Amino acid sequence: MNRLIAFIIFLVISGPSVAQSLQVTDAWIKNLPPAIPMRAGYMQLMNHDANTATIVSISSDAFKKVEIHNTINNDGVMSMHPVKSLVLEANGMVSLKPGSMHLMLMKPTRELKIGDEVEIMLQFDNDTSQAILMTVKK
Amino acid sequence: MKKSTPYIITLIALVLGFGGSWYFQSSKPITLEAGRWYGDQAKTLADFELRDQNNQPFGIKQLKGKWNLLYFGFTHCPDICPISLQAMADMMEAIDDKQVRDDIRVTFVSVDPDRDTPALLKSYVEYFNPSFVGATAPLPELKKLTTSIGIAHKLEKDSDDQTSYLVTHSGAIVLLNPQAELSGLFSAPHDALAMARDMTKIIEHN
Repeated sequence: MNRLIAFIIFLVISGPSVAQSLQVTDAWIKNLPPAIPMRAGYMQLMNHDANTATIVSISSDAFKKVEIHNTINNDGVMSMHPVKSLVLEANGMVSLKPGSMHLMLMKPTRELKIGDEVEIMLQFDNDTSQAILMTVKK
Repeated sequence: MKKSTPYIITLIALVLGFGGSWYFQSSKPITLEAGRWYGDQAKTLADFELRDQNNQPFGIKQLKGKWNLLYFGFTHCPDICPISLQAMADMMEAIDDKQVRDDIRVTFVSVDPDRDTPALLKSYVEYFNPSFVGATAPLPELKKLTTSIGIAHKLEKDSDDQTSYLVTHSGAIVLLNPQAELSGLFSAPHDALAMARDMTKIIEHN
């Protein structure tokens, strides 16, 4: 019984540092031939929390480097710009989608194919993190 | 009146009828769903020579004989280039008429010749569709083509890492007719199904 109470206390104390309450849906990576060292990742992020969530970095064992980029269409000319942090307002939503904001996944550490699931770690500004799964798709 | 006169009049009427119908049909402007059609304003391109994914010459001569869709990008581009090439692959799949499909050549022109070797271009373009062509050339040669078409592109090599730079480039898909003249433009974002209908209309009309 004491162990159970101790475990519950541990969960209550450590809870916030285990994960944010972001709901992630439709998280996928566009498949490309193995010789190409770049991939883009897309997803919908919903922050159900009453506080703002700020993603400050992203990492994955499957890639040497992950950044958030935004594709800007300036009168038909496309340019990409790194995004330093991604802010999700309380109860807000952000879409990472083709031709817009996306994850830039650089230098895969292993060969990826359609159907594979890749774990990506979102790091927040309050030193918490959240692991998500992204599926490699056509 | 000779017996043969009515036949001659009928023949003349038929020739005028078919000829007139052909004339009015071919000069009728085409309205595209997803792009702009230049019609009589089709523009001749400057001469240029790229190398394709099999390291073979690729210029005006190779562009002739089919309707061409050209996209200008780079293989290290994670977002807009794959979705544009996928849109053209989906467009090809959506065209039911094999004759129309066979009349279209899709070419990915790399504006990043230092990194995009023929081997890399080959694996990249053929991933989307085995019939797709990849081509590039050193920048001075490449610019003969891009300047002639009016396609903007710039290497963003201002970062410390000279191997992981980005490239700013036009998102448009350019249409060349079988005489390799600039005939139309599809601006981003690209709608594969609308492009499939447009290309079918253009090819059947011409």
